[in-house]
Amino acid sequence: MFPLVRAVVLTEPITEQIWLVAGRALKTGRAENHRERFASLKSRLETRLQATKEKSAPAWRSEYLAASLVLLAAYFFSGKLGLKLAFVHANATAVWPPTGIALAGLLVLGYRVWPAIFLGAFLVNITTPSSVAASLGIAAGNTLEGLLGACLVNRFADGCKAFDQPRTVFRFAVLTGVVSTAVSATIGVTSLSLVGTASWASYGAIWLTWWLGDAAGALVFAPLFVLWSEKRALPWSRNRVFEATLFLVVLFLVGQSVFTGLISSSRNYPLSFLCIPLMAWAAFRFGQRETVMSTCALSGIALWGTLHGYGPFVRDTQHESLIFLQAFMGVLSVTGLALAAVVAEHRQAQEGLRKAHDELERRVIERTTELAKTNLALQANREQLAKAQQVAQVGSWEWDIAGNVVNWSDELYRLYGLNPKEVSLTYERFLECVHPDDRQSVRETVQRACRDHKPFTFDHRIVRPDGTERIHHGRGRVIVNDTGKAVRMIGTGQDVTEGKLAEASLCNVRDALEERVQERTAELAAANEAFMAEIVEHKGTAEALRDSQTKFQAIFENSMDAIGVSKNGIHVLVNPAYLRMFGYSQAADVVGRPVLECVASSQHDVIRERIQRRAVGDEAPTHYETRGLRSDGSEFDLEVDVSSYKLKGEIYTLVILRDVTARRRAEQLLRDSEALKGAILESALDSIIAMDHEGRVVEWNPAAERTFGYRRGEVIGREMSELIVPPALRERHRQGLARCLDTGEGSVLGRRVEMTAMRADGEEFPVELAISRIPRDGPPTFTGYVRDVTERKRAEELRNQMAAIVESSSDAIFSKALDGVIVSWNAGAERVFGYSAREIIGRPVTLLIPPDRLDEESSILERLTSGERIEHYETVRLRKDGSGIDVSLTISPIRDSAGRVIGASKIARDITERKRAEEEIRKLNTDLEQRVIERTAQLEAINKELESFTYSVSHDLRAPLRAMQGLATALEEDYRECLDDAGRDYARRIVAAAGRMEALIQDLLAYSRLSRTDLEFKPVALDSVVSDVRLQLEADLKERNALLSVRTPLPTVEGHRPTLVQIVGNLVSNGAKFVAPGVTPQVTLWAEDRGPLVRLWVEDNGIGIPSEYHERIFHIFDRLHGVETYPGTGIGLAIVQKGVERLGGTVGVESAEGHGSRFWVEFKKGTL
Amino acid sequence: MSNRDILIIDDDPNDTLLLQRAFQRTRLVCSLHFAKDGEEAVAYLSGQGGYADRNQYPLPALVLLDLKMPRKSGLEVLEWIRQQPSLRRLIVVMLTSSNQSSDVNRAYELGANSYLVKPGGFDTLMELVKSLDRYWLVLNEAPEFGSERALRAN
Repeated sequence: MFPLVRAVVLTEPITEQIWLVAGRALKTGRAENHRERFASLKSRLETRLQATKEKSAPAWRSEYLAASLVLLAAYFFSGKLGLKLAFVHANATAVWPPTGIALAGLLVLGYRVWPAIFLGAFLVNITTPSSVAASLGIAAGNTLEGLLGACLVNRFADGCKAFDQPRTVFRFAVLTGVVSTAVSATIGVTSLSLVGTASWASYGAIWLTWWLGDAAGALVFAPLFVLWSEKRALPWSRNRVFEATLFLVVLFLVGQSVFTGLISSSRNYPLSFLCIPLMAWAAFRFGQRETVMSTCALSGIALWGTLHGYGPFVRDTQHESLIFLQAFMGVLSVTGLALAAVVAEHRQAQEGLRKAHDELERRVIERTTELAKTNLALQANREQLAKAQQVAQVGSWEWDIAGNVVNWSDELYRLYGLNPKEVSLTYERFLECVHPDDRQSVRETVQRACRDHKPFTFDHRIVRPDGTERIHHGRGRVIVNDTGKAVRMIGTGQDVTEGKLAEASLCNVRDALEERVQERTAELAAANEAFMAEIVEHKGTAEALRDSQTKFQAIFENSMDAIGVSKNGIHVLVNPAYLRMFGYSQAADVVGRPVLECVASSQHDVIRERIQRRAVGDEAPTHYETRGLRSDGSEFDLEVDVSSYKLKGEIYTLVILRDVTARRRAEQLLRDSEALKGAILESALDSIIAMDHEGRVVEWNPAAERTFGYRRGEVIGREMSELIVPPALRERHRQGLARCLDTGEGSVLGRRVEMTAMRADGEEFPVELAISRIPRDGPPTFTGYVRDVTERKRAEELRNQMAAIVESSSDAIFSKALDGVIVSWNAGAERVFGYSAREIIGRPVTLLIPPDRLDEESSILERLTSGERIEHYETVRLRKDGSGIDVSLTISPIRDSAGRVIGASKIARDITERKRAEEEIRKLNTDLEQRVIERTAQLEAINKELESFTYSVSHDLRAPLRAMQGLATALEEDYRECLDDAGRDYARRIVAAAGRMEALIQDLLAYSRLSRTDLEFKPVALDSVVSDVRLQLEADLKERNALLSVRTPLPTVEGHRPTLVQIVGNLVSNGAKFVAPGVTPQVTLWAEDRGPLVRLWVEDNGIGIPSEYHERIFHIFDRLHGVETYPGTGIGLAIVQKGVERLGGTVGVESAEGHGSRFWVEFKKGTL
Repeated sequence: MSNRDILIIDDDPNDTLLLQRAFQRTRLVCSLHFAKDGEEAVAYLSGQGGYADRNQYPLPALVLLDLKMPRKSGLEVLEWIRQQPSLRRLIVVMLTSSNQSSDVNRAYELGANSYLVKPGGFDTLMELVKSLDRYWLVLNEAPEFGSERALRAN
C-alpha cells in the first residue's frame, strides 16, 4: 500500500501533466461531452487520490520511511550504474547521478532524509572492493556534500525556486557544482588514500574525476528532479504539442548526429555547438522543466555515444572522454537553465504586466463611466441654468482680467443680440456694445471695482447689432487671488428695459393724474363759487331765520368751547367741540345720557347737587372749575360757565366748558419758571439788578446785597444811579438811559462793559457789567449783571507788572510747552540769544542747545515733570549766530489748574562775564598761591638763616663766657692770698656775671628753639616729665633746700616731651626760687582732669604775685624784682607761655601777694 | 703699663688753659698734649714733621676733640682718624660747646666714642675731667692701635 501511495505521490506531477495535456487537447476539440466526462473522471480520481493521501496522512513516519526508501533505492541503483563507468578508480567515476538525486531529495523532502543518502552511499561503496572505513568515509563525504549543497542552495539560491531566476541558477551552479562537490571529492579521495586503496600520487586525478562527476550529476540531475517535484502548469495548446514533437525529433537528430554516427559516417566532428541552439529553443519556447529534460536526454545520448567511441569528446581514454563530456554537459545544463529562468522570469513579468494592464483597463472603464455620469449631470445642470437665465432674462458673465477673456452665458449673448458662436469676447468688445454715452461710467465702475474689490452694480444702455437700445442692469463681483490682486470678475446682466419703461410710464401716469387732480380742484373751486353764488341768491326771507339759525348753528357747531344743553341732568344737545373734548365720535353717544357721565367721580357729588338745585330753580354757582371725565376714562380740568333758560316751561341748562388743562399746565410752568428765576437770582454770584424806565430799582438779588451793601428792602423803588453809580458818572448814566429810551438803542446794551461802581459805604470799585433790555409792552426794563472785578483787576495789574518785569529783565525769560516748543520769549531772551520773539515762538527749544548737550533737555524734562525746580544750572547754549554762550538756567515747571505740569519757564542768565571773572579769580588765586609758595620759601630761607645765626651766636658767645668764668674762678682760688677782699669780691662778681650771662644765653636759646622747631605731638606721661625735671633741677633744689612733692599718678597729655620738661622745669624752679627769705620752698604738683583736657597745677608757698602783674609776668624780659633780690633772666615764664602755645594748651596763674602762687598749664589729654 | 697720654685738640686757648688747670687741680697723673687746629692734630697723629718722635709726641690713649676749629673742623679730623688703619681704634671724645643734636648725631655717625659739652662752671669742668680719667683711662679696656704698638705687642 505504501509504495503504491508513494509512487502515486511521486508521479502525481507527471500524471497532472498528462491530464492537462489531455484536457487541453480535448478542450480544443469538438468533443464537449468527452471533455465533460473526462473532467468528471479526473475529479473523481483526484478526490480518491486526496482521500488516499489523507488516509496515509497520520502516517507521517510511514511517508518519511517510504520517501527514504525510494531515495535510497534510486541512489543505490544510479550509483551502481555510475560506478560501472569508474575508469580511474573503482570508486571514482565521471558519471555520478546520485549527487543530483541526493541534492534533489534533500531540497524537496528536507534535510531529514540524509540517513537514506548515507546508507545508499555506504551500500554503493561497500559493494565495491573497498574497506568499510573507506566506505564510511565516502558515505560521510557524500552525505555531507548533499547536506551542504542543499543548505547552501536553500540559503543563497532560494532553495527549490533556484531555477526561477538566472541569478539563483548561477548561484546554484556554483554552490552545488563547485563547493559541495569539492567537499565530497576531498573527503572521498582522502578516505581512499588514507585507507590505502588509492595512491597519494594519483590524488589529483582521482579528485578531479570525482569532483567533475559529482558536479555534472548535480548540475544535470538535481534540477531535473527538483523541477519535476513541483507543479508547473505550462499552457499546452495544439500548436505547442506540435512544436514539442518537432523539438523532440530535432533533439534526437541532433543528438545522434553530434554524438553518434547515425547521420554521417564520420563520427567525431566537433558539432557539440549544435546543442546550444537546441537548448535555447527549449528554454525560449518551453519551460525550465522541459529544458532540463532535454539536457538529460541529450546527456544520455551523448553518454551512450561517447562510451561507444562516437562524438567530439572521444579521447584516448574513456575516462578522459567522460571527463570532457561531463564538463560539457554540466555547462550546457547550467546555460540552459539560466536561459529558461530568464524566459520564465520574462514570462512572469509579462503575465504580471498583463494582469496589471487588465486591472488598469478595468479601472479606466469604471472611471470613464463615472465621468460620463458626472458629465451628464453637469450637462443637465447647465441646461437648467440656461433655462433659468432665459426665463429671468438674466445672463451671466465672467471676465478673466489678466488674460482679458470674457465668457458669457448663452442668455447674455441673446440679450445682447449676438451669436454665441461667432463673437469672441473681450472686455473691449463688451464696451462696444455699451451705449456710447454710458461707456465712461461703466468703465469707471469697473475700474473702481478692480481697485476696491467690492461688489458693484451698474445700469447702462446697450445697443444691439440691430440698433435697438436696451437697458441693462449689471452686477459684478471681483475675485482676488492670494496676493490680493483682482484676477477675475463674475457677474450678471439683466435686461431691465421693460422694467424701466414701466417705471417711466408710471411716472407719466402720475404726472397725468396730478394734472387731473389740479383740474378737478379748479373745477371744484369754480363749482364752489357757483354754489356760493346760489346760496346768496336764495337769501330771501328765510334769510333772517336761517341767519340766526345758522349763526347759532355756526356758533354751536364751530365754537371751540364745548357747549352742551341738558335737562334734568341729561344731555339734550351737544356741539362737536363737546364731543371732541370728551372723546365721543357722535352726538348719539352723548345725547340722552346723564351729564354726570362726563364728570370725574371725585366731583360727582358737587355737580349732582348743583344740577339738583338748578332743576328746582335755585341758584347755583355759574362759573367754577371742575374735573371732567373723557370717554376713555381720562380726567382733565374743566372751566365751566353755566346758565339756565326756560323753554316751553322746561328748564334747560346751558354749559360752556373749557379745557383748562393746558392753561393749568401753563400756569404751572409759569410758577416753575418764576421759582427758577427766583432761585437763579438768589444763588447767582453776580449781582443782578433790574431797573425800570425811570431808573428805579425793580430787582435786587442777594449777590447785589453782598456786593453793594444794600439790602433789598432798602433799594427797591429807589433810583439806581443814586445808589451804585459813582457821583462822577451819574449824569452820564441818566443821559444814556434817556437816549436808550428814545432811540431804542444804547451803547452799553448787549455787551460787556467795564465801569466803576460804588458801594454803600462810598467805596468805588471796578465792575464788569452786562445790561440787557427786556422788551415788554409798555416801557422797557433793564436788567444788569454786575460783577465785582476788583480782584481780577488786581490780578491783571499784577500780571502786567510781572510781564513788565519779564520784559524789562535783562535775563532771558522764556517758556516752553512739554513738547519742547517755545511759547513765550521776552526782550531779554532776544538780546541774549539773538532770536526775535516772532522768529522763535513755535520753534523747538532744541534750537538753542548745542548738539553735544541735547540730552540735557530730556533730563531737565524728567526733573520738571516730577515737579522739581532746577536752579542755577550752568551750561552752554547757542545764539542765533551759532556762537556758544555760557548761561545759568533756572527752570521751574508751569502747572495748569489741575496741578499737572504743562510746560516750563526758563530764566537764562548770561554768565559769560561771571565766568570770565571766575576765571580771573582762579588765575589770581593760582598766582597768589605761587607767590605764597615763594614767600614761604623765602621765609623758610630766612628762618634757616636765623637759626644758624642764633646757633652760632649762642655758641660763640659761650666760649668767652666759659673763659671768663673759669679764669675768674681760677683767680679766686689760686690767688686768694694775693687778693684783698675787694679783689676777691671783684673776682666773685665776675664769676657771678658770667654765670648770669650763661643762664641768659641758655634761656634765649631755649626760647628761640621753641619758636623754630616743628613739634611732634605724642602722648607724654607727666610722671616721666616730672622725674626728668627733678633730675635737671636736683642741684638747684638741693641748694635751695626746696621740697618738690608730686601727687601721683599724673595723667598723660598730648604734647612734646622736651618742651613739657622745659615748661614744668621753669615753673618748678620759679616756685622754688620766689620764696620769702627764711622760708623753705615747697612746690607741689598735681593734675586735674577736666574732661578732654588735663590741668597741671604747680603750687608754691612763695611770695605770690599781685593780680595787676598776672599778665606781665609772662612777657619776655619783664621782671618784678631786681636781679639782686631774686636772680633770673626774665625769660622763664615767657618760655613757659611760648611752649604752652606751641603745644596748643593754655597757661594761667592764681595768686595773691603774700599767699603763694598756683600756676596751671592745661593740655589735651593724651592716650598712651 | 697704662697709657696716660691725652691729646687735646682745641683752638681756644682759654678753654685749653682751663682744661689744663682742671687736670692739675684734680691731681690726675696724665700727660697732656695739645694741637691748636685740625691740621696740627693730623700731623701729630700721623707723626709728620716735627711730631715724628713718638717718645716726645706719643700716640694718646684719649683724644679730646673740639668741633669748631678753623680750617679743618673737628668732624673732619674725626673722619680722618677713623680712616687711618693704624689710628682707627683711637678713643676720641668730642669736647665742644655745641649741644646741637645735628652735631651730636654727626659725631657719633663718624665714629666718636663719646660726646661731651663743655660745661660753664669750673667745678663742673673738674668733675668732668675726673670722670673722663676714671672712665676712659682706668675702667675702659683700651684697644691696640698704631703700627709700633702692634709690632711691639707681637
